[in-house]
Amino acid sequence: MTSQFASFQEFLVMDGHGPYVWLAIIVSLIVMIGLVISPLKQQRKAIDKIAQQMLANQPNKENKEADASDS
Amino acid sequence: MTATRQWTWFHRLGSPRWFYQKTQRWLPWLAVITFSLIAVGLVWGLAFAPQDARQGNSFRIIYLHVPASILALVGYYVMAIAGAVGLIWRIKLSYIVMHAAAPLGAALTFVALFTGAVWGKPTWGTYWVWDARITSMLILLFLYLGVLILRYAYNSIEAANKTSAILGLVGTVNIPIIYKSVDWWQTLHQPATIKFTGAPSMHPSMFAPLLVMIIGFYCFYALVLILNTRAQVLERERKASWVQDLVVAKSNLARSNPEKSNSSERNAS
Repeated sequence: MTSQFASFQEFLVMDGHGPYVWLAIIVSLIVMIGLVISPLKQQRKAIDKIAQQMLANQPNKENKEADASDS
Repeated sequence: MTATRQWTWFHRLGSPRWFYQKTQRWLPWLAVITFSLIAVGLVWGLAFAPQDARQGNSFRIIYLHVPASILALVGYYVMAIAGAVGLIWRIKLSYIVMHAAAPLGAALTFVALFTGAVWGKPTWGTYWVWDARITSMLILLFLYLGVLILRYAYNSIEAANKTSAILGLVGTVNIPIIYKSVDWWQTLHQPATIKFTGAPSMHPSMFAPLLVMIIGFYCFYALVLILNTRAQVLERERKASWVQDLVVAKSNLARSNPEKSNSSERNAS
């Protein structure tokens, strides 16, 4: 199998159709990468939020007890 | 007895915890397969497939346009069926899958429309035309956005789930219209390249990379659907003990709070 283009320059230009082809591909890839990253970020956020809530609920009590025993 | 045993897998599948733990092991494999297929398909289609006799190199947009369009349609069925399963069996996870499918489907429909518009300029001489196929795809985008927004329109999650599921089911009417639009109305959009019956109207050397891309997009769809579902499972099950155990293990809870462990040690002694 050989490339359809003699040089990288020709591959980019694509007989004048390059801008259309590359615009379509770059926008699609940006959307697709965003689709993968956004749930990963959302999950990270959810974990941090749950962790904060757990800290706010339980260890506060322990901290207070610890403070009380320290004094 | 046997009847109940047969159904246990179904209910286990509906358990958010089972889903979360099971998919943990699938994800790395699925990610590697997806990335490889799309990388191979894209390079093959862009650089090695022969150019189209009439359209020249602009036809290479097909390697994103067709897979994205197919998954935009398939994804709508996934969303509608997940909603139906939720309505009928009241399975919590299926509603989560429905909500996870909405933004993914909307994004893929956008990609299909955008690549189509960019392809239209050098081929038809215009970015946009109110052709039957394009208009019905635009309606698909609005249906996805409708399901996406309805979720936030209600205070009660149960009402939001039910309304979204019903909208999703009603919208399935649009799918056969999109599919058949190029045959019913002979407008600008070309007829389907791939058919369920008969050979594709494409040379094998052009079709092979397209097939790789389509399989790659199916994997990509599954990957993102699983990632979206997992993120929402965590948010909705935040009170469950298995989620809290997982959060303790994953977050910096122990490290960020050395005071706590010290004081508890002191208390113990």
